[in-house]
Amino acid sequence: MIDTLLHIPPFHVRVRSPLASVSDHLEFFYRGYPVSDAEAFVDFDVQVLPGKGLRRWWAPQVRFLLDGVESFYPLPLDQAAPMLEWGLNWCVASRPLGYLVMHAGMLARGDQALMMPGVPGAGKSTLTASLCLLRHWRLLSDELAILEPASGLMKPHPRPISLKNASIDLVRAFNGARIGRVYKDTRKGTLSHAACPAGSVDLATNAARVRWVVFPKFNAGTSPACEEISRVEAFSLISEQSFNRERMGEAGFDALCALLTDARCFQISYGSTADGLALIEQVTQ
Amino acid sequence: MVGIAPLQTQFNLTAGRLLKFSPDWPCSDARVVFDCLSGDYWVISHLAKGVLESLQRGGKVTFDQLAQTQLAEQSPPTRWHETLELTLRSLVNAGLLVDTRGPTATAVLDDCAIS
Repeated sequence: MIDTLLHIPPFHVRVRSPLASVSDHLEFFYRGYPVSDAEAFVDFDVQVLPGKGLRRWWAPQVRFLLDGVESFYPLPLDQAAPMLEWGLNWCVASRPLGYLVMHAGMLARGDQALMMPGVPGAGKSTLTASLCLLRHWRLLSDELAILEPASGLMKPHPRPISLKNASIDLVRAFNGARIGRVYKDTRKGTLSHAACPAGSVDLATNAARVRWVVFPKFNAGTSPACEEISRVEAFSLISEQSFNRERMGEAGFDALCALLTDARCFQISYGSTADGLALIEQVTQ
Repeated sequence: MVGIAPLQTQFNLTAGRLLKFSPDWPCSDARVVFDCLSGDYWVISHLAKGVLESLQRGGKVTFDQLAQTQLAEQSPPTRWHETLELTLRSLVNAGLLVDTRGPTATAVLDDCAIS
């Protein structure tokens, strides 16, 4: 039985589970993370538990609980670790924490951040992994852009990068990549995770200001293209990828407007990782 | 003479909204207007923003004044009244304005051509 209090900035997360696959996942991906003080306020108290009832004898399942409440249907037991990661994403996206939370890959060079919002399948996780492993950008998050309205800064939330299908082997070939177990037949296809680089974990309390907003679109074989777009268009596109903009009200609107005022916005389409990296290099010069 | 009647005599801001606007970002005529109470937002034109701001301030703005302030940079501004009519209708359709002229009203031009 594992019962640990992790500091995954900016949150403190208590994880409890009797499952070896969960403790193995935490050991592999979160070993270098600081352990929270016993006094720290626990933002998310999560449990990953085996399923109940007779079903556990022929099709065992796993359940995710936040503060003792089970909000999702169970998944097959061998998907316990992905369920922990999906569940943590849900915690951050759904809890009213005073942050504007958006669906985007986030990286930084120094204190200047690159934000890559995108619908699932746009290729942002692969591009995020490529930028931090091949171009040494600092990983803030591959899924969740966390904007603090008061400061206008993006809070790092470094966690394993979620890779799907063909991108798993692509990223596995990168120098320095640490890829975890592969999970087949998940609701997102074949899934695996790439560990967050240690340097990004070490700097996980260093917030950054968004300088570039890039909407990536991967389409195998297409020629690279880049277009600067207006901030109004970017506002609309980001709003589609925001988890809590409506609930954040005026503070969220002001924060997003301020973010866009300081940033330049682009749409890029590319057909290979090399082209994607070259386009990012071009817009962030 | 077109546009003597104040806008407020014909259009009101929809009750229960608290509107806020995006900055005047360069390189785009469009603006974002956000309802702080519902969390909804709309992308509107610079002219539409002028209309909403004028009504929100409660001033006695007229169509002519709007045309001068909002469309002065457009050349030639000969069709400003049609543009304004379309803008007002789009704001009504978006639920941001209420047309108080009633169901028999046909066109802003007809209505504002009173002195």
